[in-house]
Amino acid sequence: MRVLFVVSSNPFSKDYTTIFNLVKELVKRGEVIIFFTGNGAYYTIRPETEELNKLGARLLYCAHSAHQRGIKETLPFFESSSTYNLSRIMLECQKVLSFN
Amino acid sequence: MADRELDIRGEVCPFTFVKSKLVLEQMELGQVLRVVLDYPPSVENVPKSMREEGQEVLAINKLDNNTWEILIRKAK
Repeated sequence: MRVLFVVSSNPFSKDYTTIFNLVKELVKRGEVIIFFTGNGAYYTIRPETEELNKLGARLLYCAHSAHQRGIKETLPFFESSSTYNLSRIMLECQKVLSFN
Repeated sequence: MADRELDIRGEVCPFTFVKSKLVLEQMELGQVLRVVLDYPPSVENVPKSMREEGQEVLAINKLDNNTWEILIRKAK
């Protein structure tokens, strides 16, 4: 099973604990991809986010959202991506969970 | 030498990729599209998405301080 999280909420706000706990369980059942967009792009400069990567989730971010927010360099465990790429990934996943 | 040119300076994601893809779809296999853009995130992601689509990215060249060209051969 492939599960996609789309996260556009502010880092470590109301959603983070839920996201973390869901990822921890879902990685046991298949692939987990998290796509950070909008204000979620701010996760890309927060070292704490590495724990999601260490759980086994693949961390992507919208390069446009990051650029708009003046983020010049992201942490190494994030992959640059785009909303076009997001639309393709959505087609390949069984479940899409959105946190905004 | 490109068969077609697409100047999308001033455009941002995701239109940079969508417009490139639409033009490429009108071209023949083996033809080369030259895309000119000025948006850094797109310089990174347009080639990446094109490769994922099975197209051949021939070159990514910086033309001046804020302008790039991407040469894409239609392979699929």
